[in-house]
Amino acid sequence: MQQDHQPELRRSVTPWGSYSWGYADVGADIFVALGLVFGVAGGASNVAFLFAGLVYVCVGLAYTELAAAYPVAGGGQYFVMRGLGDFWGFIAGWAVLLDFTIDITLFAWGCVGYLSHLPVLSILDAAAHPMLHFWVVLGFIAGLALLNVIGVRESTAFNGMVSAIDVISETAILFLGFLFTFRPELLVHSMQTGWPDTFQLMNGISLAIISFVGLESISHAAEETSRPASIIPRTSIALILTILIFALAYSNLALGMQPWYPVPHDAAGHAQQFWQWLGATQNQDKAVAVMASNIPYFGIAAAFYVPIFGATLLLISSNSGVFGSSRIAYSMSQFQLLPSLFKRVHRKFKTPVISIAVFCAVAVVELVFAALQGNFGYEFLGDLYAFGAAASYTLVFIALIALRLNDPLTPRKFVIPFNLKMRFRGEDVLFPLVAVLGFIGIFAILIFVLLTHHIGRIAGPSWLVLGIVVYLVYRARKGLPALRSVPRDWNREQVHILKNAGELELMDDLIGKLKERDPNFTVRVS
Amino acid sequence: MRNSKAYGGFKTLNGVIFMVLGVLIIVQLTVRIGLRFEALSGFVLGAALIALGVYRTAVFVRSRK
Repeated sequence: MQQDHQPELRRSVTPWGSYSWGYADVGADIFVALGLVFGVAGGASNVAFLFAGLVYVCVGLAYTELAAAYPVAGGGQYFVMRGLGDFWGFIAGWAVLLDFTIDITLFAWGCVGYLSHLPVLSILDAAAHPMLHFWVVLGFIAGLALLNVIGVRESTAFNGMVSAIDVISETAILFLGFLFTFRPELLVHSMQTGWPDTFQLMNGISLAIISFVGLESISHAAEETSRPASIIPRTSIALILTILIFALAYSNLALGMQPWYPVPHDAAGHAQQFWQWLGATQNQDKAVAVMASNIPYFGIAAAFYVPIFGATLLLISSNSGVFGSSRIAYSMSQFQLLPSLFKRVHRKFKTPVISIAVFCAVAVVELVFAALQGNFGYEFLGDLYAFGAAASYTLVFIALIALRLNDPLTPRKFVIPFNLKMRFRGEDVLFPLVAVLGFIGIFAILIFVLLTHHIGRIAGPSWLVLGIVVYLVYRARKGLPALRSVPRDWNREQVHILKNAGELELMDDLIGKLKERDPNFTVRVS
Repeated sequence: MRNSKAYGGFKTLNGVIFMVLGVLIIVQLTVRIGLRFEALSGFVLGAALIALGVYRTAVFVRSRK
């Protein structure tokens, strides 16, 4: 039953495939984040997205450099383990696991929310029929778990098709929205009259970061991308800019939008502005569909296809949570960060059945807790999602700095701009100033999460404490060092990584540098 | 398809459209509401569109050399 070696993944992902893997994950985030951010940040929502977006650009550049230099599946967990050692690698991986399990529930919830915007499926609305909504979301999670156990998942071609349609669809919404409904003076008015207090703005910024979560997917696809050192930077930068543009465009449009239909009064019977209605509890899980249906003429068609399309994209994203959590757990158990139980594959389907079952069960527990929050269930999930993302991204920045200092010989085809040249342990290194800025930004967001999210500040750290206990018990039982790392020969491993990636020039370059440093260095690359 | 002339033309046209949209957003915001804090997020949006346009065009031009 136990698999002793992992077969190598076939490198068949093209530039568009790499882009669409990332887009299918990150592109769905705005469908979830838009309503949540408007619900708390109100007239400053565009500023919240701007702050989070600039931090995200730094995060994106860090992931681009790391995924191109170390093209292995594992993402942030692998980079942090290599840069900071086993313990911190475990913490980063465990935080990402929290995000993936939340991803399963949050996006399945959002999927049902978008479907409920269709008149024929309005019975699925979470606010109106919470029990039915709960069972349908649960059904989606169980269905995805089953599909992943039997090994059915969307192909790169399917992801590519959905991503292409989504980019066209979102561009149409924004283009026509700006053309027909955008009033710059209304934007100024909304910002001046709806500006929140500092607490709410911090809360909004911390929720806005969830519209940029998912770059992990490009790192996971790196092991299946041909010539990753060249392709990943190209696709990542296009993806970073696309997602930033969508987030800023939606938030500015919503604040300056003159909707086609009159805005209904709020629960107390008061008149409200469009952005207030967009952030209301009943619209938070379907905000993009509400916006699209308020664009003149185009809105008639958009009212039908955007909910279906949004639901499809969110379901794919939810599925990537199931797949991603099982893959991360598998990778962590290979590096002896988690028990080998998570490496076990099903005898017939050859899928990591225990990982899938465990993390889907965690997702169901999160769903139960979210359902118990009543109207704040969606926000509860958003809180936890923001905590996991901020915690793991914080460590990725530190890992980037550590790897620049400790592993200067690994060839980097893409290097983040703005560096400080310096000497460290006898080697010339480039100290990344952008990583320092990004670290300050994401650490600030982590603080915002802890200050403003009542549940996130308890549940998030509790998740980490639970993980640390599991880690320490496992390492003690195996006789492995608890806080130190298992010795590994990273230089030889890096040579093999570059060979497997087909980056032979970079491999020769690395071997040359290693021999220059140590004339006795030998490596077998047959 | 990926290296065809038609694909190259599509990518370049695409890049130019992004650049034009970015410029339009910045010009409209400057004319209608001026250089104010409220327009900051919009200016960054325009700049990001221009950057994406330049990037797409530059990647294509570089790949043709």
